[in-house]
Amino acid sequence: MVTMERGRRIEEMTTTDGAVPIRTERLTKHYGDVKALVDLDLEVHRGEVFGFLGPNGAGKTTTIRALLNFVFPTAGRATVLGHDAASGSVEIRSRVAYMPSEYSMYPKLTGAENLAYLANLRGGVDRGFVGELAERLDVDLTRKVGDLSTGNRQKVGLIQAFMTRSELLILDEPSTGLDPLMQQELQKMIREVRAEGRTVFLSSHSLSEVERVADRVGILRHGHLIVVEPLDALKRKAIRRIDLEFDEPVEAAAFARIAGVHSAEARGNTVAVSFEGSVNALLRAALDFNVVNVNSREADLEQIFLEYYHGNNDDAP
Amino acid sequence: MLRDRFLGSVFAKTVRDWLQWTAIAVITMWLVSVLYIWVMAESGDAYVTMMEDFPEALSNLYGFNNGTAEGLAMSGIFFVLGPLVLLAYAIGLGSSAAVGEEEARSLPLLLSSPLRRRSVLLAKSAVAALGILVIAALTLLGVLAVAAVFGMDLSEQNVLGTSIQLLGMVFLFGAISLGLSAWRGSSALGVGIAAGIAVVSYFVTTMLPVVEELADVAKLTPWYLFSGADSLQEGVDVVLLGIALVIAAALFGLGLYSIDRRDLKG
Repeated sequence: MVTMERGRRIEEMTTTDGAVPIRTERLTKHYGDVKALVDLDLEVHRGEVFGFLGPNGAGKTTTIRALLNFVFPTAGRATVLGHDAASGSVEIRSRVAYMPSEYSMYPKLTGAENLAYLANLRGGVDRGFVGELAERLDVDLTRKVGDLSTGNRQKVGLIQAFMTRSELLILDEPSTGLDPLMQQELQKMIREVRAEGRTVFLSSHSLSEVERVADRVGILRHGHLIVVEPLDALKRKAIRRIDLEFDEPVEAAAFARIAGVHSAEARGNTVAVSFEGSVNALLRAALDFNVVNVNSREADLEQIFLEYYHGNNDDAP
Repeated sequence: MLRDRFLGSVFAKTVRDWLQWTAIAVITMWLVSVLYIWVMAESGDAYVTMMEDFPEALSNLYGFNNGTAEGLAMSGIFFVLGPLVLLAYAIGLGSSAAVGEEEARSLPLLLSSPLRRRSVLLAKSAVAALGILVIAALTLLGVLAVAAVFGMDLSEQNVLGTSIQLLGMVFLFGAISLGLSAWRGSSALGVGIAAGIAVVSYFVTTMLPVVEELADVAKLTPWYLFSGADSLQEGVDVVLLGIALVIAAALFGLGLYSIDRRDLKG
């Protein structure tokens, strides 16, 4: 019975008005001389997990704070679920769950009391579901929040976001302080949210946190959005590595000038090549020698993210 | 269940959070009032004689002095202790209402709920104002009861008037702290300026009248809006009370206006 009601409620929430969950147009935020965010054009689709990646200080949290009207944009605008971020912020926050990256709960209240307070302010929270979430995340809600470890406080924070069953979840560095098992559980919870047709905006500086759950990713650097791509497309673009083993030492220079090759390094009878694009030219060049073995390694996604982070990519401003 | 009831709204939770401060203020007022009244009932004449020997500037610091033990007791309670306790409460909680959650970093979670910033400020300000009224009312009742026990002859009407006059100044300083804190997002600024003005205006108002040429300057301070009424003798001065409340309302308005129009910190 409870499950049916829950299902109905989720259905009601996910089919409310079909508005785009998040849209920004030239969203800009300056703090004095510091350009925290510059001309951000972004659209997050309904029912997707959008990974918002960038190093610390890239402007991720500023973006979220602008979406929730905690800060006012210097220029541009944002809409969340069809409402203007500034004028419709109360309506937005009634339909959005938010987990901040840096926050405090009320340390003298227990986890249960903190959640009860936030649930009372929002209304419509199923207390039974709160208990289920606490069980899943293995956290004792009877202890005062001030006595909890960082990881357990983070779990209480996650419960307050997930307990709302909002149609859009904005999670800022949600796995901070969680052990690997709990990180997996969190990923599972995020996938469940997506399966119910709801949307997750997942901000993180960690690729590993995002790549297991995100459908698309946007990478932010120095306040500029460098790229927005489906994760699969990024993987296709990623720099790959191939080890070519020959029957005798071969000069790396034989491969270094081939189109798409980033680097070639000879080690004994093996030449390790990193490249992007087609492997055909590389293999043709290898056949000029006696190839003993070819070992291809999986696309190194971390590398492409680091290149974006460091600004080595051509698309970067 | 009762604990959960105190978690039903920002107002209710703030009552719960600040109850200890209100209780401390009331108990302090009661204990010191009992002490004042007891000492003055027992040895008031000696203190009156001693005060008459003080230089004018020094006796002015003590506030009202009509040459009676009752006058000294009421002066100690309403011109020294009362302002000290109530101003500390109002300035501290005024600032806390405006930026307490912001500085404690709990505001992002609180505002993840569909609340307006100004609603949070209004709820917390209401609790602070209620706390001030409760402290003043309980102090008044306590003072009248203890004075009756010790056989002091007080004018209830003027003691009530003095309490009301004091409340005007307390709301004014609370509003200075709240308004400035909300405007700039800094409790240090709000508390610092409000407390600074309170201290300076106290000394200016009580000491400058000793110098005849500077006596009128003393009338320009917020403290004068309370002490200038001479309310233990004359009752409430509606004009001075009105000025205090109008300025307080304007500063509260500044806080409400600015809290919705600035970037939150953190």
